Amino acid sequence: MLSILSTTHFRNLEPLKWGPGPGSHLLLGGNGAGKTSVLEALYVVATTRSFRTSRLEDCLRHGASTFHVEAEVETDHRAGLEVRWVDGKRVRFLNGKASSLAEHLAVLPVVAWTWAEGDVLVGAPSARRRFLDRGLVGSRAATLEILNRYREALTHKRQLLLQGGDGLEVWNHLLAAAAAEVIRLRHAYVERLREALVHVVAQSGLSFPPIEARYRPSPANGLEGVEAIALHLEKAEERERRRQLPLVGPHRDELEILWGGHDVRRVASAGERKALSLLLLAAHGRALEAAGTHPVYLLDDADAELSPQTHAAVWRVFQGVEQVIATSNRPQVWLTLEVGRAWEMEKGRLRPLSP
Amino acid sequence: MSDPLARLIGELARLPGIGPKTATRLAHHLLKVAPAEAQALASAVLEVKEKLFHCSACNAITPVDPCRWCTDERRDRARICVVEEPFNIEPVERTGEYHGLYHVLLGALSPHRGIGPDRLAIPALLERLAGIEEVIVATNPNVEGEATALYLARVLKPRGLKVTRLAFGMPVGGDIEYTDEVTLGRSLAGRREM
Repeated sequence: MLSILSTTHFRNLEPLKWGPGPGSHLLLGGNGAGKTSVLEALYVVATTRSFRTSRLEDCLRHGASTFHVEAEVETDHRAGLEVRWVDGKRVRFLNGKASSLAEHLAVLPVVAWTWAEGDVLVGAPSARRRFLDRGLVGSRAATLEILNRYREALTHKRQLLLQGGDGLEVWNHLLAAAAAEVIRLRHAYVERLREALVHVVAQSGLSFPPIEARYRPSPANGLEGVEAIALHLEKAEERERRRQLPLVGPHRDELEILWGGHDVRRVASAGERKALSLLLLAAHGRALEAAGTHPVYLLDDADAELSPQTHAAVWRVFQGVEQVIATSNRPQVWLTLEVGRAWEMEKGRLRPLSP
Repeated sequence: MSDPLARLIGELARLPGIGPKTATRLAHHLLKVAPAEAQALASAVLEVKEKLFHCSACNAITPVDPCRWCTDERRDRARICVVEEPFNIEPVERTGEYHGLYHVLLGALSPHRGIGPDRLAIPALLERLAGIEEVIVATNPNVEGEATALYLARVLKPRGLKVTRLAFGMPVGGDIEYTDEVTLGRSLAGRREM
């Protein structure tokens, strides 16, 4: 759980030292007040990345050359995370010392709903693979090493195919071993996600048709292990050489979300898809909780596009989690909802609205 | 910026691990130091280039050719340890556990950086196999080092050689409770009978 978030020279935020405490928090304010920047700062210090930009220097306050975000975290022990932008570089510390990225990520797991999260349902398969991998790393930070190993070997294979070089079998051998681990982990995660999704849909009370998450690995029998994958890679070699592309492996996995047995993209309305993507995020958080991790939920402008009834149903599934921070510029839709504490953002300053 | 300073920054920035900002800082530091100190650095760089070179047999860095490892008759000539870079030899030597020969590949396979088997000292290794019974592949345990080890195994095993790989796993003094599952998984995969 986040105890204290501090920022200096981050976006439009005035120097911030915020101790939200456990439970649910609502940050209210107009456009550009700094609500999303608070969530972003928290996301940056927890993950070392931003959900708004791939260039972390975009988070610098206008005219500043450094920023600093710090989080005090309370789990079974206290830990301190820091991310700074100094000398044109990102620097991170765990308890004041350098650490591995996996160790850093394990300290403050976050589950964030932002505008980009809609892509999980309607975007390219790569968005769903990223969603899956956030689940893997959130559950067990050490899986980052396995994913990176696969990605790195794949980069080499891609290059070799482009060059038309020899020695593909060596890279296929490495890829088969890494792919078997990635597929096994993704499968186990989707099983947990499926269970959690059924639970959160029921908790919301929304009358949605049956919703199912289905994992389709590449190759289809990838769960059989290294030898089965190696055989597919060998069979695909000629086609891959011809097309100069790696065609088999978890970089082509798909996560299907079925809505009453049909592809959600074709049958659900925009509002239904938005509600479902929030429920999917809640299920993702529950799956992490089942693995022993208690994430902080960040919901940026999640009530937009939802009817008051649907919004109330969705908010119900986030109540009772250890810590959730939501932003909104529509105070009226929250009047009848149960919120632990409300805060107002104005010109980069945060102040409590309710005790 | 005057030309000599720009030239120094440019040369420093070509060194591995040094970006333009660090190069600029180092160059300005060198501008501040006493002339004797700058002279000592320049002559040390020149001396290294004049007096040290790669061993013509194993590619280790040496002041005499062949190097001390290749010429030491007391070393076990039935075993050869293959490493990626010359500086990988010293850590193996420090273990005191290995007394065989060395061979430096001068890199690892990396299609992404345009390094194929033809860019590594593999033909020279194949020429040194007379009398060798075991090749110990001590490339790094990363993706490139693993691919290089696999490639070598495929080339060497058909020649009837025993090809071994350094074991990976838990550090000495480590605690199972605090070992990440990837490392522990590799320790299990590489376990040995007692």
